[in-house]
Amino acid sequence: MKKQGKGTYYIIIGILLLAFLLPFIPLVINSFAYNFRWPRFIPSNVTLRAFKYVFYENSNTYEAILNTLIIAISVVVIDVIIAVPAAFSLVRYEFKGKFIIKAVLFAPIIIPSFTAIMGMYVVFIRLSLTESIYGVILAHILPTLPYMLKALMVSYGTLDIALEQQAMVLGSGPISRFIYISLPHILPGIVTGASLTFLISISQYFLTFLVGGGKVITISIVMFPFISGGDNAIGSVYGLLFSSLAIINLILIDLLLKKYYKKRYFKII
Amino acid sequence: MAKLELKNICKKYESEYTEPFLLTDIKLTIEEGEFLSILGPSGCGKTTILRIITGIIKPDSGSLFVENVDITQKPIEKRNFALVAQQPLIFPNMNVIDNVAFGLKMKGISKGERLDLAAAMLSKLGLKGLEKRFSSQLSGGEEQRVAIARALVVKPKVLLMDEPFNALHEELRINMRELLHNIHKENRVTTIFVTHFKEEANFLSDKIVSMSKGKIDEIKKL
Repeated sequence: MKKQGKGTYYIIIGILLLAFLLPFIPLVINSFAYNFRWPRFIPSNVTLRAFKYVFYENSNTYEAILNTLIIAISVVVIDVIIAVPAAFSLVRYEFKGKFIIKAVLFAPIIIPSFTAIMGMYVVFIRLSLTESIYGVILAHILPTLPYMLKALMVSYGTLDIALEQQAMVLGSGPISRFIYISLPHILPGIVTGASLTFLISISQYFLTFLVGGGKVITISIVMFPFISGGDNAIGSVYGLLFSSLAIINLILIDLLLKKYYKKRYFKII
Repeated sequence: MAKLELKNICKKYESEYTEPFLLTDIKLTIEEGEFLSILGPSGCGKTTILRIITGIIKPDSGSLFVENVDITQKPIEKRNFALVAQQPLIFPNMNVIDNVAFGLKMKGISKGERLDLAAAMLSKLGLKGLEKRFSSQLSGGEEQRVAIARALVVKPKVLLMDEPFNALHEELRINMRELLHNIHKENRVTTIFVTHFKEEANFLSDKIVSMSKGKIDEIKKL
């Protein structure tokens, strides 16, 4: 029985791995391929041309990586600053119009964010936030904030008020209470929200292109022309670069969470 | 350690889940070093009185005096009380010694000193050797003793206990009762102890307040 269970486990893992890795196989083949066109089934030669182009000849690549990271990290930081007090108030307090505020905050999940950006664009022009990295950062907050907020609301929802009251009675003011009691509790939520925010931010093409006006170069921006009908090999290399950013992010988050749960012997409910 | 007075405390409570609740004209004096028990059935308002004293609930009218100073408007964290609730409420992200030292840390006592004080308090409560554990690695009785240590170590003006032994089984409850009795004889911290067990109140208290339906029925000195 037990052996069989293990067998199914490996089969399921195998299927999942295959499903996850399958799209990467043509990506890898493409990135090394030379003269790989229909009706050929295998490339006629192996070449590092695309890698050379991406990492040596195109000076935009490093600027794009840097910009992508700057934007994603700034968006994460701003989202945390906005979402922590927002999630706290939405979970703890009952007030008039709470439903409307919630609906507005979570709307970007349902309504495509460029509909909102179209309107904000006029204001952005007036504030000369277009064609600037600050404008792009602001625009990226829109589609990412709901995910950060949701993750934090779940975390705050499981924080016992009595625990905070206990700290209060022991002489702890609002700031120390946040640092020693709330923050450790919501940290997994912050980490989860941050990883989602990071992933959504790096995959934005339209918002970045519209607000950045082609002046703010991110990986999505440089990658897009190549994958939409340009050079497939170069597109694939950018694709690999893009995925590695995402995967590094996920691995880092995973390590952080594992370390956190190992350090603090949390009761698993 | 201090004298605590409740003067004409009133509190109306409306909740969507329960019947409206009224706490009427509570007058109570707890002398310095006294052990006072509030006895009554559940829903009689004894926990509400305790929460009003801690400051978690604000009374509608009436005032609270410690050493003849009005503290009704004083923020919770400045009152220098300590609370042991029914649930031990051990901070899950800190180990036992950090939990016990937390109140001292909030008072700005240096690390070395507060860890010494906390360790001494832990061994007084028979918790020596558990300093590095987390709450998930403690038994119910141990957790509640950590909570008592955490409350006593700050030398509170008043120690408030809200049915602290209810979650424990019979035998352990009797042990804890005796432990608490000895600790009180030794330290003489002004204590208010809420319970619905008569024998618990009789065993521990200098004075028993019987309550029902938001009113004090009688105050009995033992």
